[in-house]
Amino acid sequence: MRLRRAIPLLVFAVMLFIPAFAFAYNEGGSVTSSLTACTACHGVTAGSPTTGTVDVSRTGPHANYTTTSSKCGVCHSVHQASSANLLPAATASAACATCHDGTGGNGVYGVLAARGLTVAAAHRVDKTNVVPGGDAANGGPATVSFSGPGGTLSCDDCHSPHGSSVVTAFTSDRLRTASYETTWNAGVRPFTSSALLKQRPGVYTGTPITEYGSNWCGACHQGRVNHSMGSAFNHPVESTATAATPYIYRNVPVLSGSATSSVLTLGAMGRTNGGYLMLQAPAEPSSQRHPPICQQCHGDVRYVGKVADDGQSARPATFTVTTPNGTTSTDNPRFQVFPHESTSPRFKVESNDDLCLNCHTTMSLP
Amino acid sequence: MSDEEIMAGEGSEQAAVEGGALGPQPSKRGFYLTARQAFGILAGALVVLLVALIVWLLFFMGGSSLVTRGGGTRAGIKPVFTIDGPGTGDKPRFDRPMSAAFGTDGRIYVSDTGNNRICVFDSRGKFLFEFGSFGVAKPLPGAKNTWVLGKLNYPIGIRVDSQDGTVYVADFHNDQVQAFTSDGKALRAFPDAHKKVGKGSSGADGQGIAVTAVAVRAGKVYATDQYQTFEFDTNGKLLKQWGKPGTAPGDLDHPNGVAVSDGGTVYVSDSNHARLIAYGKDGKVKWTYGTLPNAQGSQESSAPLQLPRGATVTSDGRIIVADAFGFELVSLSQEGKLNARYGERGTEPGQFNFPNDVDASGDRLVVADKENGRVQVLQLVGR
Repeated sequence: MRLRRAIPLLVFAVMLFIPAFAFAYNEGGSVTSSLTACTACHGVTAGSPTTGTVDVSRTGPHANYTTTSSKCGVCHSVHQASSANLLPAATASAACATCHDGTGGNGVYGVLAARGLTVAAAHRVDKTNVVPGGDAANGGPATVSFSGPGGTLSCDDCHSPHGSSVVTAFTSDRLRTASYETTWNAGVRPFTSSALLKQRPGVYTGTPITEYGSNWCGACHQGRVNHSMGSAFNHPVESTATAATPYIYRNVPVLSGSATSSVLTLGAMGRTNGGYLMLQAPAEPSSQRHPPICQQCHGDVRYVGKVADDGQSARPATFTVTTPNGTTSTDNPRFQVFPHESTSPRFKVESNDDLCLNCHTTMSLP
Repeated sequence: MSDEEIMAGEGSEQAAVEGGALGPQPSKRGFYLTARQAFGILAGALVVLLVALIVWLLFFMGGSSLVTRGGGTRAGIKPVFTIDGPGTGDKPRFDRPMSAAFGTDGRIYVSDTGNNRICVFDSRGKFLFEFGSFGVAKPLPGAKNTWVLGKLNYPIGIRVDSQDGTVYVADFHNDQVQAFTSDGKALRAFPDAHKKVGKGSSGADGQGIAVTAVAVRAGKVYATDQYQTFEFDTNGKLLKQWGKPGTAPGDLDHPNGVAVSDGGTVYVSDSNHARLIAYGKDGKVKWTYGTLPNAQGSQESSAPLQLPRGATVTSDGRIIVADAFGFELVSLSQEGKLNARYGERGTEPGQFNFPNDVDASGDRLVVADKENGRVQVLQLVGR
């Protein structure tokens, strides 16, 4: 049959066309928040929604689950979820950005890039699993397994989205804190928040850290909290290793006001620049001189003021927070996004010797 | 038929009968093909098939390989097709598309927020082109101004003027609205991102507006920021503004949707207050739908709206709201009464994962299905 003899030719012709099929298909303001805006969601512990005290323990969908609340389903999908932890996005951090991207409130990550600034330091979620100073033995970097993809750092390594086992609430620098106290609740009750910080951040499994301070940072940066590690040394830092009751973020010596003063009182670091200046003894209100906590050198960029050359008095810079994320250039501190991102390398509050001179005045140097 | 023809036919039948009587004979009738002829015919058929396939790929699959067509109807949603991205270039997929709109010719404009661009598709989902790239219009001290007209910084809301096809984009971090031709040529930006807008605005340093959503109707452009709604003419002249922080009727908290009826009623998704507010032309509240979140932090499953975001008005006057936390589209009458709810949570075509915006054209809707990283074109049925 001639037709049979034609079959190989036909097969050859079809084979000629097959690649053509494959390649043809491409596989490839001036308007600020009001108290009622807060109380609408958080409620009040006392007073009316327009003048009362915000119940800061109520944090939207992130805590206070009861038999009558219906919050779980906001974030979690029981079936056909996009991630193993039943969240709406592929990673926990991406799930956070579902709301915390700036359109429903203040943003966190991306604030600096949106204004053209270079991010010089960041806790790089979904990108890194290396902890600077994470090696307790020698202070070097440590590679750990966080909860993000590939063991990378994730938002929920530091924050509990469910408000479970979080640190004691503290006063922060953020605009809502400042606005609340200065505008609506002056002298009534400090606005405090735990920021949903976990008592056991990262891969830390030790005794729960109930207070935000050096110990909390040291849960991951273990090689930074000890002064001496044999052949390597760190700047001394206040922690439970140095004091039975160490200073913490909500309880450090603070210079109040913006006038030159030698009076220190114990109080919160938030909403003031007075906690970043350390006078020489005996001005400190404790009989024992303490080293700084981590946050007295690492925080949002700011000008903290100046210590007199003799170290006996200081003039704190005025604390000014007027817009979310510090986009107003005269705000001090800036951005209010520590410790997520910073324009300052290693999250240093000030640059160069300006930082050192906040404690080590010229006359105090040997 | 003539008698002769009939006879000839009968004679043929007779001959056939006779032939049968003679027993089986090798037939000398039928087609004989040489190998060359057979190859030619089949090759021709293959060429025809190939051309047909190419046509099908081009016109039905579009230029994008990231289009999924059809899908079963569920929860009142009949999916037409979904688009996951342009399918080409170094960013073939969307990154959190937060808004989508129909153009005058059926095109679909997608605000690909995370990629700082606008992607344009034809009415069947074929990728046409994209425009916009990252640019910072309001750098802080120490940063460079990298913005020129047309560059974007976290674009969110997008709408097309049905009269002339002009595309309006909410350029969120640049504190302005930008206007483009239907082909993506940048036309203008407004308001001035470096000046206070009217009685107050929300951009960096209190200048410009951190605009989340836009709408355009009858020669006016509407925009929302953190606590206000603004009305401009199409050249960007401020005509009116209303809204303020608070929980009173008409007060706003981070609205993320605005739509306007033919009659001039302005519907604003008061997102964080979990309600939709209808304003008359004079800015006075006509009605609200939804209830303020309670002190438990809202998210009551029985709440009429949970997190209303983008909104649109259909040609027959229905108001459709994308409820991001409700994972559904909510249809309301012009009087603020509930018509129906459509959709459910999920990742299949017709399901939503934090839907952030919706726009209408004829009987079709386009939904920015943000956390599924796609836009969906669909129809509402059966409710």
